[in-house]
Amino acid sequence: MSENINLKEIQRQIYLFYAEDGLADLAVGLVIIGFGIFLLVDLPALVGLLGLVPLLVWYLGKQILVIPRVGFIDPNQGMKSRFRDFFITTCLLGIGVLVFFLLTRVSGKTFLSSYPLTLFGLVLALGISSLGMLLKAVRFYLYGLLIFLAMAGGESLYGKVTAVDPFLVGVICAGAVILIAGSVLFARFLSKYPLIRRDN
Amino acid sequence: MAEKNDPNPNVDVEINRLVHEPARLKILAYLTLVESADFTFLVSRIGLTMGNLSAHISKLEEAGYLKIKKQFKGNRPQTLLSITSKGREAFEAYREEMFQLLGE
Repeated sequence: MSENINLKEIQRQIYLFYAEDGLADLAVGLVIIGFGIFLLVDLPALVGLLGLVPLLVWYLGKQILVIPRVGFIDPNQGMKSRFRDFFITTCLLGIGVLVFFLLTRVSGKTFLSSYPLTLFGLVLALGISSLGMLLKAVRFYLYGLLIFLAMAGGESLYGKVTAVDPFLVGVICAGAVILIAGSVLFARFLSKYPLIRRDN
Repeated sequence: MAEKNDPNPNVDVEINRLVHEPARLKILAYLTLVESADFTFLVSRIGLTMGNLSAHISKLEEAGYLKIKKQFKGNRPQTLLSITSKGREAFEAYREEMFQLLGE
């Protein structure tokens, strides 16, 4: 048995542990599609719940389906710092956007008042792209781009396209694409890693 | 010092054969990059059978390179493995030996 042992590749495998199963993709897809559905049924106040359901799906999926198949790791301090920094950055980003929104409303800046959802889409895209940076998974950059284009495009077409609400269609379609991608990854993961029967 | 009939005239380093074995080297490589990992994770990543992996883990534990902690996670037993400081030193020393030998 002679194999090259590449520590960088092993580290990539460890990060893959968090991204390979597709659960993060499912969670992101649920957030986006849920946002669209909430707007469709005109319940924007419940948007706050959007974080809870995907988080629950991610957590339960990991505990019940993923860990019994590929095991469990306690990451090292470097990795924990990256996760902590990501969490802090996304919180700050969210707070920053909220403050910016409030300030622009007060000061009456025209551009942002006209395109608030584009800005929201940009922030969401940045958040999802940073998730890709954290998990070293390139596909999250594409998800971010897709979401931004769906929201920006939808908002700019709003009022010009009257048959359907282009923003809602864009958001729900983007969410559905990500959800489908996540489902495919998840199904592939389940077939690649059968349950390990031995109690260890 | 190298001698004329020495089969390895340029080799002055002693290789730690316990670490040198590819499966054990992989086990240590994974465990240096995490705080701990369970048995299932190593089975899924290293590609050995459970019996084979157990045997290698036992050897590393006997040498004091690994620490094994058995616990229950809910109703399921879980075996957590972590590298000891002795194991980390042995792994780093092995890496240094390889750099000296291969010059990479």
